[in-house]
Amino acid sequence: MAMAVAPSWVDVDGIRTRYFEAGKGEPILFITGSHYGNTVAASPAETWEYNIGPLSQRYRVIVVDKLGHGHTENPRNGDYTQEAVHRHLVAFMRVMNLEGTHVVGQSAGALPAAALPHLVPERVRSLTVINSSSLAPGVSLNEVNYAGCPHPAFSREGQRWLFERCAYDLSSVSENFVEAGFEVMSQPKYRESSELMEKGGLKNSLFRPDLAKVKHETLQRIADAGSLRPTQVIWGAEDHSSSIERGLMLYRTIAAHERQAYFHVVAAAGHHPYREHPEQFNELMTGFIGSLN
Amino acid sequence: MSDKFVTVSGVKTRYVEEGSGPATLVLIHGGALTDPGYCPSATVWEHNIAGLAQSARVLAYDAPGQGQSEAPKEDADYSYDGLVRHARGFLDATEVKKAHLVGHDEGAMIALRLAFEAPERVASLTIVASPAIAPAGDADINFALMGRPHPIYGAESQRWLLSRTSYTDHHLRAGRWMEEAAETARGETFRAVRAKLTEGKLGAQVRASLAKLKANNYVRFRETGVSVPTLMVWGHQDPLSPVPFAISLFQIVSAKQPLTQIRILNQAGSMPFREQPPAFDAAVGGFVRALET
Repeated sequence: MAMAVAPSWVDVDGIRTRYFEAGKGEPILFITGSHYGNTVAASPAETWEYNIGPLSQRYRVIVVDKLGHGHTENPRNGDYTQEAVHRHLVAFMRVMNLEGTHVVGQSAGALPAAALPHLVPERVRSLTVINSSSLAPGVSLNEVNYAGCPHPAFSREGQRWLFERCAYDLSSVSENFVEAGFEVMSQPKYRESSELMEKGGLKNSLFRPDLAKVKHETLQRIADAGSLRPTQVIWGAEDHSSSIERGLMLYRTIAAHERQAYFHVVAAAGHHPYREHPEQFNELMTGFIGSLN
Repeated sequence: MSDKFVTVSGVKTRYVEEGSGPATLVLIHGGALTDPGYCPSATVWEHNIAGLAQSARVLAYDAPGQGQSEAPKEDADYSYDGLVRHARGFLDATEVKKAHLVGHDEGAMIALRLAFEAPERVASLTIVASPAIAPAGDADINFALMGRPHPIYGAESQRWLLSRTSYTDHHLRAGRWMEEAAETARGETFRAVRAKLTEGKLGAQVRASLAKLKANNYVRFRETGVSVPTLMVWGHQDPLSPVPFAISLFQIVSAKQPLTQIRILNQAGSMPFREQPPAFDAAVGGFVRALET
């Protein structure tokens, strides 16, 4: 399935940023996973291909490519940090004039999603976080998951291999999804970011220490003050990178402060429950948003 | 919403009805014939019926011997096999060919057994806060309700008991259930049923029937599984069936039924549908809508 709409572009404080937008109503902002320049696979905006169309019947749905991810330009001045990703999203929300936004983040997109209510509380109405090893407390198994890819770097086969590893049902890994990820990895700007991260050593010298710091600060804020907005934690039960237990730990941390906190586990789903059970996920979003008003 | 009556195998049965199809939801309360110390009835769902009726035709009935329904006719009907037969008879009498069943605690046992025995009548199953079904550990003793005030079934005792199993007692002050429950306890039907259960020893028969079905559930979970999509909704602070027990049940059910989900609602105890009505209605309504599309 192709995306329901063609991509748009916007200048966000000098960064040419790609996004998809469809529908009218309360805004839902989808934030996708992946870290800068991953050589095995990228997580493209097309991950939400089964959700944009149906949800845009009722809502203004926006899917954004994070700084240096997807087709959005790389950070300036070698600022390959998680903080720069968050700053870019804050600026994106300002430029797009997003208010009362229902923020949804999956995997590495859930960390910035959970940070946004603290960074721009005036723009966020609710929070949905999905299967995120980057955000959930406990040991991340991402490296285990990526290790041993039998295919060359930046290949279609590697891209498909990772998505299949993440999935419960292989039929959820569409050709369009694989192709979109391959297309992201094939761009010169993406290769440049991989070069800097891997051979240039930025991954270990800059990105990872900053990621750890940002994760710690975000979880600490949630533990101290809560997620600040009604929050649902949605978890595919068969995810190799983040077990149900870690989702439950994250939910408990949030629920200690947030009255409207929910933990929702979806069986027969891996890292992308919204792809494996799109009808259920889309109704879950509609029901959650509806119950807030 | 006015009371309706229908005769099911000779037992005059009270029910309420709201909303319109094509989907039909049937709500089954817990605690029937188990002498739980409070008077359950269809009115436990008073805060949910209008919300759920947005998504479907909703029916909620009083089990035999509860609320305004007549007592079971035969001694043999003082059992969960009898209550399952009655539930099936209720579907026949109200001409419901196929229903999304929503059961609370022992009501979920009735719903689950119907799903096993008459899957052609059951579109989906929602198990709500059900220690009657969920694994309960070896001791199977819970001290949450020790030392209740006397006289039992007095208005104060009922309220005390329900507040002990709730996150807060706000839901007991809202609505008319507590008033109705106190009135039921003073009524002739209730006193006659209770005499049968206690002095006539039929209470032991009811408990044995529940235990037998619970043990058989696990055989069926393992061997054939539940054949219909299953949603579980639990309160985060349920003192009678804590979240880890619920997650165990989720894992048991989802091993054979791919369309299984669990949603934990924060700030809710053993009656999450009364403590968080909009969130409960959104979860059940969304699940059913997604199945109907």
